[in-house]
Amino acid sequence: MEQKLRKPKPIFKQGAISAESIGVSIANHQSKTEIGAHNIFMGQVRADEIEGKKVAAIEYTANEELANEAVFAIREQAFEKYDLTCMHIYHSLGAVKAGEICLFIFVSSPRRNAANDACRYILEAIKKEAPIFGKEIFEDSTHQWKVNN
Amino acid sequence: MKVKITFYGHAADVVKSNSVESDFGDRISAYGLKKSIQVKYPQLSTIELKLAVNNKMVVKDVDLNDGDEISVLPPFSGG
Repeated sequence: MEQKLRKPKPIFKQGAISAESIGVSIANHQSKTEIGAHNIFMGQVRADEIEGKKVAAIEYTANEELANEAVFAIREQAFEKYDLTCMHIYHSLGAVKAGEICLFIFVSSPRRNAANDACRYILEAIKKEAPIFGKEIFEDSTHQWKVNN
Repeated sequence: MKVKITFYGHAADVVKSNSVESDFGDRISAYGLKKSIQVKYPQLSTIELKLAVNNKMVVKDVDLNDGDEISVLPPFSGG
């Protein structure tokens, strides 16, 4: 239980979240044999086409202190609500190109339902409650502000 | 009464600045400050703005104090 009551941990990584770091994160759990299910969500920058222009990257900014606190609160709520062993959350700051990973949520539990439900809960809460802002940059360098649906 | 206002995302784009210091005379509330920003920058009245005072989200109107740091937050779009 002590592990679950940690202080806010910075969630931000500069630039894209690499496939290698995700692989390492998965490998790091092989010693935690009480876990029976992992659920991972990865947000990837989509090359949306808007009025003939394609999104080349999203540049993320945030009020980092508020966002870290918001995600910490979400994390604590998820531990309260679901039977979880551990949880790791990373979000990009700065430019992330189309096709790269900008959000990584990794939830582990003894059982699959808790891992699945918690992962979805955390994702929706982050989108709604964390002051993070995405600027969609088109191939011609113009931009628009991303809107979450 | 001077406060520091930091604009984020779309709001910073409209204001063309990340951070300004503003003097509001005697007193102003958080919602009063929001209103004055939206009057000055009409583009910001078409998007939903949230405020934080000294990195605490404003959930109901409060009077601001000298030296407060205000965050002006457009709709969140993480993920």
